[in-house]
Amino acid sequence: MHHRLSLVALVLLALAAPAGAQDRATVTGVVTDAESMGPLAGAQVQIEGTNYGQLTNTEGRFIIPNIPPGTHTLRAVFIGYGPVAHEFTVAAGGTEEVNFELSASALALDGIVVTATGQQRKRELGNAVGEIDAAAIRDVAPINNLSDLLQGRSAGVQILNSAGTSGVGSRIRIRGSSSISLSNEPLVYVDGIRVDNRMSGLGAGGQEASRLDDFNPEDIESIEIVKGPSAATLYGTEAANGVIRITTRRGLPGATRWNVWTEGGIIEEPNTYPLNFAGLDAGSERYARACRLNEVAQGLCNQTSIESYQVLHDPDLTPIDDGNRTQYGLSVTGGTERINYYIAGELETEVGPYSLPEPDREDLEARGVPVISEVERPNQLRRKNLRVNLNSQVADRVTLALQMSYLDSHFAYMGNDNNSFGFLPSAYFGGSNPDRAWGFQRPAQLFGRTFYQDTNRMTAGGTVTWDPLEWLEVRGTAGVDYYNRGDVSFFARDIGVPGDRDLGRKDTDYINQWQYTFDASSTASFDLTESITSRSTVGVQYFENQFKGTSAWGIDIVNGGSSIGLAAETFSSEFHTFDKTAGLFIDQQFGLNDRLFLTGAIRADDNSAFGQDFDLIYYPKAGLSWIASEEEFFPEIPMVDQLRFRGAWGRSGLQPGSDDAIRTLAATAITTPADETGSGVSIGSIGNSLLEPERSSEIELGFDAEMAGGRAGLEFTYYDKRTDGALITVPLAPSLGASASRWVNIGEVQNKGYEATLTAGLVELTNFGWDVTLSGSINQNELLSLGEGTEPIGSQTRFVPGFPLGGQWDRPLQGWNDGDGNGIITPDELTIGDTIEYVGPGQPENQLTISSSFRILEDFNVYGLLDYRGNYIAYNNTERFRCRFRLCQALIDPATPLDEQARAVASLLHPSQTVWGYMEKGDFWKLREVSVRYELPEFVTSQLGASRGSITVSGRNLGTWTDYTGMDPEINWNGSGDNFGVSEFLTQPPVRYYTARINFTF
Amino acid sequence: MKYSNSKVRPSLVILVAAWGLTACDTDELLNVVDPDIVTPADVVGEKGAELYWAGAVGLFAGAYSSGGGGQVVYSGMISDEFHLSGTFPTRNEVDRREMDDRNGTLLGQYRTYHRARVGTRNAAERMAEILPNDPRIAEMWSMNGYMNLFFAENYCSGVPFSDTPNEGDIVYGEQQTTEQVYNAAVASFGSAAQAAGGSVDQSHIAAIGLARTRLNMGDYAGAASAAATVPPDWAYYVRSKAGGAFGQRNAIYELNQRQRRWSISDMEGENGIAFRSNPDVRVPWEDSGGPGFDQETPLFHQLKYDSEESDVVLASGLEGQLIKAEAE
Repeated sequence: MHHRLSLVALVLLALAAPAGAQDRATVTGVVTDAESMGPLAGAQVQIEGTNYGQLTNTEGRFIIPNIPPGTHTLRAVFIGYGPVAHEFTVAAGGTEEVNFELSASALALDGIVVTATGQQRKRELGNAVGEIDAAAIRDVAPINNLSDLLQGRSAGVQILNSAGTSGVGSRIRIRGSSSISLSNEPLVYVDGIRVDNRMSGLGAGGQEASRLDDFNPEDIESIEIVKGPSAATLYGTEAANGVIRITTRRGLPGATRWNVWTEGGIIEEPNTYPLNFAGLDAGSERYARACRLNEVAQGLCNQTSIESYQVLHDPDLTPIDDGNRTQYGLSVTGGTERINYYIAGELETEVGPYSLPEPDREDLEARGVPVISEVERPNQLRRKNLRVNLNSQVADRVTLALQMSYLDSHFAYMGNDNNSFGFLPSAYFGGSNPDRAWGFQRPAQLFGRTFYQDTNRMTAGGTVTWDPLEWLEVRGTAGVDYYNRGDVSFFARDIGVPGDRDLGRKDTDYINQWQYTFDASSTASFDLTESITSRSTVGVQYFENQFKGTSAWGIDIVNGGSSIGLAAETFSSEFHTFDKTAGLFIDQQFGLNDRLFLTGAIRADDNSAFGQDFDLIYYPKAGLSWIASEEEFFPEIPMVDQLRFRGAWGRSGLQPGSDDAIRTLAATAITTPADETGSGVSIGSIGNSLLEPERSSEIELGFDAEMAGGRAGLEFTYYDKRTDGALITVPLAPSLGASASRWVNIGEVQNKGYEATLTAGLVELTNFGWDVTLSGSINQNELLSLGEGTEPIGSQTRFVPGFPLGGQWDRPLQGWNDGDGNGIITPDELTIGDTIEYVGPGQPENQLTISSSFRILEDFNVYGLLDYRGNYIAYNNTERFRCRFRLCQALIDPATPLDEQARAVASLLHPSQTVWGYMEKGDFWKLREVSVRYELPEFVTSQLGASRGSITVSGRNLGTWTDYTGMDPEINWNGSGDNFGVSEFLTQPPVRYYTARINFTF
Repeated sequence: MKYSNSKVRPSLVILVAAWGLTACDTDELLNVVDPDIVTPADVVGEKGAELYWAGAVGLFAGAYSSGGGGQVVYSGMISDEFHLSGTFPTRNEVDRREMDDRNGTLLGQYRTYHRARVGTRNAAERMAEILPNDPRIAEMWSMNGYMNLFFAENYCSGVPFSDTPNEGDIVYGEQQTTEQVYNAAVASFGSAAQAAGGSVDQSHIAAIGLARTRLNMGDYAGAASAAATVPPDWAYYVRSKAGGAFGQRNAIYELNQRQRRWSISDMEGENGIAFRSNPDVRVPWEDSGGPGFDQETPLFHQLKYDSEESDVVLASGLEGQLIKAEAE
């Protein structure tokens, strides 16, 4: 039975508020950069201890009306700058002017962050918050999508790329993976509305788009990353993997400002693909094309020559061809203090570096198959984005922020990965000469099968903020994230695919997704004494997810048709997922002398997916923040200007799947012995009425230091996150005759590690500046327990107590000895362990990012980002499988090093078939981004009537340094389907972007 | 200067919120109905019993010879009637008879057999409860008997028989000796014979199953006696049907002709049976002229089943005659 939660508490609280006073005053002024004296637009100016505040307009001006007369402290804060506070006195009916000059600061403890309890100063929080200044990054780095904006920007946040195909998404892990069977993806909020960020595709291997990338990075003002349960407690069930809060750009009061940009560039496929080998025996008919080393060693054949070939490198036949990228965008912002707006739109296209070769075009045309755009260029991405954000002061103490974004996207992609319709699989398994260039199929048939995803998405909502009293703020947010998505795969009849598949086939998934967010809270701020402050927040949240869709396919489609309705054999089904969460939280913070803050909070949640025998869940939290350097007794530390210690503890959860607690029956269509078709039922899911959310608790300790006069900042955090009652799909004994597994709360998982970020302005001269940011993290993951009596789970990717989740395991290839000295390794020359052993972690434990920006003169800026991942195993399943098809060099060419021969023979010819040798150290360095930006001189911009203009030339994915022998140590064959592991399997490696961008502001 | 207000304190906020806890019942708020799922409470009465029967027929078809596997194709692979022309390592292990205990393919087959064993028994009991005179009860017991028989024929001693009853929680069972499994088969065929009533077909299925079991147990007289009741021209088929991902497709045709992953072998391991070079007219074959899915192993097609919808014999009078001949 569910508990009763109140939805009226906040209303009652608000009713308790008396009306405001009548005699009021006004404060106004301007905020400028202390160095350049230029205006700072968007700085937040607020009277301390109250909710009276404003953002500066495009000229840096602010005006705060209707404040109480008297003496106040006015504080101005802006991201990347140190705060400044001025005391002023104003009489009733009067206006006082207060101006600010802000200096750049590496730490900015008084910066404002958005939390579950509203806006708070960073100094008040006991936990670390990863902050990404999207505007600053966009200014210098080549950002193609939101994943690029997150990649390498925050310690402990890993973006795990799936493939190099344009439009394919990435997995996100914050502080490692803690859930064995549930998703390890974080929650994402955009302007307070929870949005969907799942990945999806249809039948093309791991080629999946991420809904996260639907959001246009051009529209984003900042991103805050709440990294673990110690900070995410108030986000409740589902927040255990962390929370990404995205704030979009807002209108600024002042004159209308137009911003236009255009981008163009090429997409290059720089990868070198392995050759397909064949050993030839001119004297043997049987071994004429397949004389391999093991057969040479057995005396079955005599290699008279070796041939090798790779069609992807054949200029006459390869489908690899430079792609391109274009972008056109326009935004406008302006308005008054009472109402202002941000409106932006963008058109973006990408065409991946693949095109239909001429011989294949002729083949399709001869078959009467239309060569449409997606056949000609099978990897395309087209996005149209629109965003409208309005801010309005609808009453003296009431503001309303409305936001709406709309996306129309078309994502066409080729099959790859574990897919016989993939062009990489056909190239990898092609022949050793141009006569047998392709394996399974040729590009005519591969590209002739189109895969695409069309998405229309709207995210809309609003936030009302009401300040009925100086000490009271009431907030309410409501919104919906909706999209409809059509996934389609189609190939025409007589296209030339083998066997009965040449009858033509179409598959479709049409999906509608709704996510509703209702969030209301109220914060009361008091001075309990001269030195002690109190901040109390109570809030309620409701979240609802509806996922509905239909799936259908049709086979045997008439010539010229492309609809399932024209198919002789059809199938259809539908699917639904519903879940709802209701929660209530109370948060209490006490501050002492504005430098010691103690916070305690608790959230109670109920969820539709909890078992019927499980009730409400409570998530508590506590935090402490102490700005020690502001204490008089604290000793001065050389070079350190500001030092803060912080600590936090909290719990959060992950909900089970919507039907996991229920015992269900499986329904299937069957043909009876009387040859009649009908429905039947059998045991489906066993269910578990005791199912609870998976709970994670985390303690984090750290410090922030600002040094060298604000030119350097260091943030350091240690965390220890434990997940208990981990939800695991425990295999059921086959002899039960039931489902293969059931969900049980039994596992215990630990993630602990360190995060550090060092930001420094190393050189700041008139004509040269050099800034550098180093951020790194170490995460150690361990499965502490699987529960009594539960055997380790998995095969190569295993879950074994005492080892990382999803660690890589197999029988060890302990050595080899070419005893007969013939230069050929045979199975009997291998030493293979008898039992499986641990190889290494399946995901990177170590991460280091170095980004640096050089300013040359006043006009040039050079930026680069170097990214390192280390201590993990990447499974080179591509090469392992190529050997399975007996065309890898290691099985053919006697010049192959013996260690490569050994791993191939072990995986193919030895009875163990161990893939140990293909589980390789994946550590890598990648030069992800380099850009050069030139700020156009005024005489140029003025000719165009612009106030500012810039040209940026950039490159992305410019280099990889690794000992990994596969195509790329980062890609993964199964998209989001793999919760753990990095494993390429005929997967598209990253491609390279070179772009140029022009930006003008009017 | 900061502001304070003595009229409203933070504690009031908490009190108001605490009071609010009792103000709204969230049972309705959090209630969801998922149309994709069916629970046991939804499948009741006569129609429900028939649905369980039909579901069990599907489970048995899958375990016997449908879709991507089953008793016929895997016993054929391990006995060298087939040769792998695909690439899955776990199937390769079966072909080489070097199975790792993590072999997911075999584990899947094993699970499928138990699902059919438990499903047919549950359906028999459900039918007996709701439709006590329905001859399909006998059909369920016969299928249950065959699943027991396959466990005895294909697995070493020690197979556990656990249970997931129609109602209630799962029950873990003891390991069975081969003799115990045969006895379970005998019991099932006995129940089938008893429930057959006037249905000739159901009596014959039970009789052939019992005869095969008796023969395996060394009870030749019992085997001959059971088989003698079935006319030579009678047969019972497990139906095959195209459609769905695998559905009830004939597994041999699916894996051999359609997927090209199973080929017909010949004297495999040198002492295997000459399925091709010494042809049996009952099992015709042809050279496909090309390799299997692995692009290397020559693919030989069997021609006994010519489509995905070719039915597979489970029991027949002909088999009864062979049993009789062997017993005598």
